[in-house]
Amino acid sequence: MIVSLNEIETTILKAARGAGMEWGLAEEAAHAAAFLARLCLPFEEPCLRLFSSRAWNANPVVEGACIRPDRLEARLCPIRTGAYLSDLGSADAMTLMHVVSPLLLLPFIATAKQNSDLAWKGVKLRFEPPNVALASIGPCALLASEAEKASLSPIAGDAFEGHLLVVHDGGVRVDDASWAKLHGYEALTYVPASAKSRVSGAGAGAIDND
Amino acid sequence: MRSPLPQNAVPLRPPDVVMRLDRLGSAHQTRLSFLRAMLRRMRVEGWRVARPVFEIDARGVGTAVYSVEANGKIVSLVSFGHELASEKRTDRVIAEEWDATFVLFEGLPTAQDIARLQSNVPKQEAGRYLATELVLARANRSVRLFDHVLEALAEGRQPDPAQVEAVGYLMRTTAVYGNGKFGIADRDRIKDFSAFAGPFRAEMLTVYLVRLFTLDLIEHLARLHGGSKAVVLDRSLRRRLGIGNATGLGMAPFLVRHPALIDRWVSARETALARVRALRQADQRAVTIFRAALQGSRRGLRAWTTSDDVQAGRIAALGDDLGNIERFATERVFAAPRPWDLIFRFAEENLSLEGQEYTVTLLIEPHGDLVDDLADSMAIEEGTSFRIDGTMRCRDLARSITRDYGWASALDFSEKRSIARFWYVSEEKLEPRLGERFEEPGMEQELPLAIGREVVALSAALEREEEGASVAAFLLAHPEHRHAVRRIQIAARHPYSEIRDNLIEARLRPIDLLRCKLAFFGATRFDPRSDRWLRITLFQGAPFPDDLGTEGTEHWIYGE
Repeated sequence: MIVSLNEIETTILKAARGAGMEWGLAEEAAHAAAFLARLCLPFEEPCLRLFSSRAWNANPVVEGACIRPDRLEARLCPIRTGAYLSDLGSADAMTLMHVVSPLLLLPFIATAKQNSDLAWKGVKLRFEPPNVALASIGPCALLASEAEKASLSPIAGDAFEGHLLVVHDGGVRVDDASWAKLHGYEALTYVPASAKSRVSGAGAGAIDND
Repeated sequence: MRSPLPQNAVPLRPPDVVMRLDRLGSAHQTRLSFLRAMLRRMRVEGWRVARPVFEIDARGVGTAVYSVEANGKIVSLVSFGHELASEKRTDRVIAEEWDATFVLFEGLPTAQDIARLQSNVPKQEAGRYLATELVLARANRSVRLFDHVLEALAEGRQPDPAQVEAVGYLMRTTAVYGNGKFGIADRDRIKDFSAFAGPFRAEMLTVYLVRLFTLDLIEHLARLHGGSKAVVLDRSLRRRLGIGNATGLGMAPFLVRHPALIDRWVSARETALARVRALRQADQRAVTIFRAALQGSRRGLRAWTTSDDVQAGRIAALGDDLGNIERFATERVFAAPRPWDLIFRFAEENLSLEGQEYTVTLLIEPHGDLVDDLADSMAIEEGTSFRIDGTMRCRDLARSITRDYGWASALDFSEKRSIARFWYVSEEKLEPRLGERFEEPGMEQELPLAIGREVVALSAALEREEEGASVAAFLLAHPEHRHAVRRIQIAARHPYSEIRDNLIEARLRPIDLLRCKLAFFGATRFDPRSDRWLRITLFQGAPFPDDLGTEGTEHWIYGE
């Protein structure tokens, strides 16, 4: 199925909320998904994995240049942690431990608008505003369900052997099965009709076919 | 580019005055409204309109294409006429069939494109679209007027002018969708069309072309029904037919969800008003236009009818107000220093809200040279205001709240009536709805439109926080306040971004939200059908493409 970026943004906003995120974080998730889609990067699977993990419920702990979840068995949420990095807007080196769907960190690095490298096992992404370049050993690494360690660092000046990601502004082809699952989360935000809401919810009652 | 305000400027009206819901719900169109700005650009740039396809049968079933060439780019309105059983005709968004359905298409459609569109556009929300489709819309006949006009023209006579004036349109749109809905083009893609630089310009062009379609359709049907007896509509009557529109709660959350954009709209209007008020004297031409617009408005008021008691009272008061302005704005006032400001202050002190806001419209009207550049400042790249500045200190965030959200602190959310309602999306219709918190289920799924309540909760949390702590650290620990913090930072840069009222209180009239947005579109004749939906008229009196350049068509909206 081909969808628009706006559909991706509104679907992920509601799906994230349906999965249990606070509205402010759900907005970040929606923004992040649209950012990945604009670069033709997959967002469906990383979002679904994040939604089922509910990793945002774990508190991130900042210790110097390291962020880790507050409990041994917990995982870092890429949205909650990414939003923190974007808020700081700094290009300082940072290590993130046990991050779910690490690809979802990329949009936040981009929002902070600093030249940076983001890397985890088998993947390196270079952000030089407004360009993003990717070097990866394969889709499995890119779509890793978790990065034991993801590192963020200022660009060291080394040569980057990867390809530039192209920005796309037409429709985006999405995986139908994943899209349906995302809509399943979205549906959790809807309120079923009641006898009262059918009468008053939209203010019907006046003749409307004259 | 002209600086926003000249020297010796009059200050802009403060947000605490402008952004109150009752005042926003009294808003009127101005010459900066989107449909008027769109028509000005159409005239200045000499857009060319053609009708390459018009194949419609006597029932009104068939296809028509209207193409517009603007700055070397072509867009086309592809229109489908349908036969609709009268019991299926409803203005509500829940309808599944309409008298006519439309899509604004990028380029000139081929027969293949039309075939693909024909299998989707009549289904509207249930169809799927590509990025070559820019706007999707549908319309129903005004049964009251359509049959009357058709019968008259087919019999070789003109319709009753009083009926034409009373209804004001042959069809009314019941939804106009843009920006990526159902797979159509995202706004980002549309902004490459210079013709569409400005908010809702593609939507306004769509509605303008739908109006042409409805007029061509009725004359065509009259010919098919009446044969050689049939006549075309008198040109003056033709002009008096615009397009109706029925709008419900679906539009309401928009104003809250786009704070930076709303600020641009209101800022442009307020800047225009301040520029006019700062003028040291009135030139004679401006005075003539002002008086003509005022008199045209008084005539127009007679046709603005509604069954809504509240609005009917306001219209009556507006009638008195316009009379008072006319009596006040004498030659002596125009000979005094800053005459426009005198009129403004008279309105502020003596007129109803409806009258005060109409005065703003009238003051801006004669001053195109002074204010029309502001129409180009009403769009914004919203992504630029999305990022939160986490380096801000919590004490500075608290100061921003004190400065910009005093209205919220004054609300008492421990009172039941302050939180009596909640906004949600209905599972059945997938549309925003307003529920009663203490009577209906579903408040767990509440939409974040109660900004005042969020800010009050954030204030309380900040009191427990170290003053010097960074907002980044605060939000890392308290993600539940992220939504409010983003808005507060946007409000610090965009003074008119926030509706300064409680949108979940018991007395809320949701149509105030709709009215405000529709006024910026350029709508007239607001006709509330309940507190949650209303009808309006668009483009009534507007010039057609071939008389756009004619002298004297600029102030068409006052019925010249």
